[in-house]
Amino acid sequence: MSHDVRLERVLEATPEEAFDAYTDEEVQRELFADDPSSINEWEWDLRVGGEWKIVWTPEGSEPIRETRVFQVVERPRRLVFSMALTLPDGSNLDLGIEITFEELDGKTLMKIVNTGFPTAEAADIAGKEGWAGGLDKFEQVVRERAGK
Amino acid sequence: MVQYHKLDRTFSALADPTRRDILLRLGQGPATVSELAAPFHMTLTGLKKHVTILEEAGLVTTKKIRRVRECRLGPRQLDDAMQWITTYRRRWERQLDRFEGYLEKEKGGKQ
Repeated sequence: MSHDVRLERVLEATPEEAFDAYTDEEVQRELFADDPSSINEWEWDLRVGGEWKIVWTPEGSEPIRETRVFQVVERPRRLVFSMALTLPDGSNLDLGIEITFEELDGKTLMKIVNTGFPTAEAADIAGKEGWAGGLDKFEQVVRERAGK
Repeated sequence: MVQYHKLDRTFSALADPTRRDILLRLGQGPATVSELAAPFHMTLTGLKKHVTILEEAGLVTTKKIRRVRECRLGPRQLDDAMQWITTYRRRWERQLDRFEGYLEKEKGGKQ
């Protein structure tokens, strides 16, 4: 199992149209949250080394701070940025996001790869012992196999 | 709802293969620190450092029983980490749904 969180979409647009829309600040404000009013702070600086900072409050949660730094801005093919999340309890997570736009039969294949998750670590435990989800289930599976 | 408490400690704890193997071993039942150290050919001091990290993440609990320290699997912190990743992915999916909708609307507006 991958370390990554990967997503793909085929978009009804050329790579140029898709890239320009995706890197439009006003479009990103519409996309960012289920509820745009949950965004408390927003800074956007689309250039290599520029920062995209958001503070937002999901429903039922304390505010979350995301600081993104653009590392690659290659129109129309590739966008790469780091993302540092500060969660409500002060925990920090550092992720990397790569977004590519490939021409596909007049449309665009958009691929998003999020790296930095230790999903492989959890998956390692899951894969070795058949754990479907949850450490309690994992414990149960192992004990059953051990005949306990 | 995802509990954010200690999420980064959970991820850090899982990042080390020795600690993942410790969790697998404890999945078979409690063990003393000495019993955990044996397969790794590691000093007790070295093993205790790993156990401390797992304990701070809530993945392991320890208890002194007479002269030995017994380790057990801890509360369900791993569930929170995996749930957070699932929530994060779903958020991306919804953003992409909105992006597709935006592009279709733009295309429709131009035709």
